Amino acid sequence: MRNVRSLPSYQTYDEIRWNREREYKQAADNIKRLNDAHDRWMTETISLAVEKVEREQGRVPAPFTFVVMGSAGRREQAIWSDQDHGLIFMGSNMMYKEYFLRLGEEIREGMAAVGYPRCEGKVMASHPRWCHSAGEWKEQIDDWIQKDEWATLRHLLTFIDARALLGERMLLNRVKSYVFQQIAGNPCLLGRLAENTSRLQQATNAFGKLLTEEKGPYTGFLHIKDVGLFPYIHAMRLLAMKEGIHETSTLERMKQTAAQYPFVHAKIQPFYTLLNLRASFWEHHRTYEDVHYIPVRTLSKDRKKRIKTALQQGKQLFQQTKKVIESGEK
Amino acid sequence: MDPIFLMNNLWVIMGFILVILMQGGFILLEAGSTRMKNAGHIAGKTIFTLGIASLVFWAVGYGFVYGTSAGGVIGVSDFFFGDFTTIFDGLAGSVDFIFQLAFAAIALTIAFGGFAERAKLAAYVVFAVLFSAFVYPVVAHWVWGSGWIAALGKQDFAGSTVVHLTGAMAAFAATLLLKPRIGKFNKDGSPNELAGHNQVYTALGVLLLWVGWFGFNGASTFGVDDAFFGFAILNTQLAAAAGAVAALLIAWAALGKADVPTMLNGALAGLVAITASAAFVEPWAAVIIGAVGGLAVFYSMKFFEKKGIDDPIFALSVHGAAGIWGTLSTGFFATPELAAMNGGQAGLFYGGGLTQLGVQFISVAACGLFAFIASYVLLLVTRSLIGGLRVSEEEEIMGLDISEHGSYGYPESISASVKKVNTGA
Repeated sequence: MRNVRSLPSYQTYDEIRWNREREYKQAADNIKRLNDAHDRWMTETISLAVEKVEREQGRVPAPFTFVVMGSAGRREQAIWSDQDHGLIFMGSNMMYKEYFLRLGEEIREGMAAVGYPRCEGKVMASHPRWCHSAGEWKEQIDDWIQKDEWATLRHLLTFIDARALLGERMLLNRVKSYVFQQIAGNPCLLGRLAENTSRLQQATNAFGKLLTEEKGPYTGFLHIKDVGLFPYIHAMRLLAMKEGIHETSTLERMKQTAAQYPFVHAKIQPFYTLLNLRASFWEHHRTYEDVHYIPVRTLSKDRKKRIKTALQQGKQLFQQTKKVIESGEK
Repeated sequence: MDPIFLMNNLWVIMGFILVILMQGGFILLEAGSTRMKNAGHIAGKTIFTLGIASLVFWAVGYGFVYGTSAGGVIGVSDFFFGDFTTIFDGLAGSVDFIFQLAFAAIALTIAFGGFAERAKLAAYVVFAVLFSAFVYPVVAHWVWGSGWIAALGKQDFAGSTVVHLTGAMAAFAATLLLKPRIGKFNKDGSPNELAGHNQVYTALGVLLLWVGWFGFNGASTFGVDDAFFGFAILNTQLAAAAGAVAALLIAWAALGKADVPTMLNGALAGLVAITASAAFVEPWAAVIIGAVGGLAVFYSMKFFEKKGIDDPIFALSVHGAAGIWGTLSTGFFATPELAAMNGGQAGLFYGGGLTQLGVQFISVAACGLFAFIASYVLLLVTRSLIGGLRVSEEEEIMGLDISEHGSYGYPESISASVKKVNTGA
């Protein structure tokens, strides 16, 4: 994680976008390289946004950390990805909040200019729900847990994938540790969170054929994120919450829990298979809308077989995880 | 008066009323399966084309079907029907006439499934006249009049071929000439969902058709002797049930979703399929016939879409594919006793060999081909008479309610964006 003061290296968002457009092809087929590059582009954008807001409104009034969530939080971004982010700052002055919300707006606009579409669900630091002091974050987490509604639990799950991209990482660690404490003290909560994500999209039909889109421009394509990646992501997020693991990457979560939960180990390779499958089609992906679609008809029989196995393994992983969580409730 | 004669006539009039009420089923089915901006048009056209079909059938249609046969090809007498003294098929002539009229109108409504959401109103008017005069009556004469197919011993109890396949072939010709609706297919040929605006209407439409079918098949016994109509109705109910269940299960198994429109089409396919065979097969066979109809409709819908054919109401699959299967099914399942009662021979599975199946096959091929070619030619005639079958691009986008009739079926619900097209440059 770089410090905001050594950046930005660019004068405008357009320059960052041009740089991104030049660089992404070299990184597109490798998940790690690609996510390192995303981190770089996003950090540059945020730094530039900070500089702009500081010019307008004076220096940042308090230490803060800028966190990314969703696929960016998990370091699983494809070449095109939307925005999911938030802010945690120190102190509780209302003036700070106004300042950081303004910063959130500037970051939102900057990231959009660099090529990260705005989040339709408004998971962005410009929204009051995702921009708080550390103390307010804890209050909001209490509120989410107390309300115990589908939407508030979904917010909590989103937050658990938060990763500090820039600024004071310990602010995030403090809030996350608070979440883990709440989970440890509330045995039913994990079950509710498991329930929240238990709707798994069917991957194959009754005849064992991959279920692709039936209509629209993606007819015959498989949505690899909805059908394949989500069961792994949801399962490992739940185990990470259970075990108080701060790591956000699904693969890292797998590695850290495999010793304690032997069934996890066998799922690492299939998850890789799916991530690599998506990366291998990067040349077909021109926009954020099509970034998770795989043209099934172009796949060899053998590759389809491997994908089907990986899809089954993901479903199994989720079911096994759910069982572990349910047994912990008893 | 002989009470049985009276009951026979009352029963058939009851059947007529039920079959006319099926038009209400089509109104709901078609309106629900299409978009809001065309709902008033779809509903309204069904009523006025029922009017056209009635007038044309009275003037010439009935005569072409049941008049004195000219070489087994077409009837040439009994035009402008109105003789209250005649007795036909053991019924008062007027009763027989009015029952037959209802069938002709159903065939026309099926044909218009291929017109949905893009044909000019004038095309409906002209083709309604031409189809009711020159397509339906010819096929009906061949099979139900003194035509050449009837002479072969064809089994088509209530019209899987005569009504449903004939209507479907006209719909096929129309959909080929009209081309797909705007936005139905992408440049690479992949289809888009142009979802119907109200599945509740569609489901109610199917239920209304289902009930109406008891008149369609039940009253095709033309009498109450031995209450045999109950058997035809039993088979009808079982086939519809099996069609709905089979279509639901295959959609669920193949798509991972229990698609509602497919299930509804399955029920209709079961009904269409059993229409030919309701009086010829045992109930267990009716279940199989309906179930195969339900499966066939699912694959047929996928097939036509894959071929780039836009069939908004699924007329080709529900009435065409299931109509063909239903007609062939008696060639497999007709029992010797029921064939002896109702005509033709036993089917393949009852020791009848390939004879009846061959007759059924020939009749499907001949009637289907004739209905397609005649409709295609008559649609070309219609096109030249009215200067094109299809509304303009702008009219199609604004919707046929406003472009063809000047008012919306749902005036309060049409979005500002659609209205804007109407007031644009």
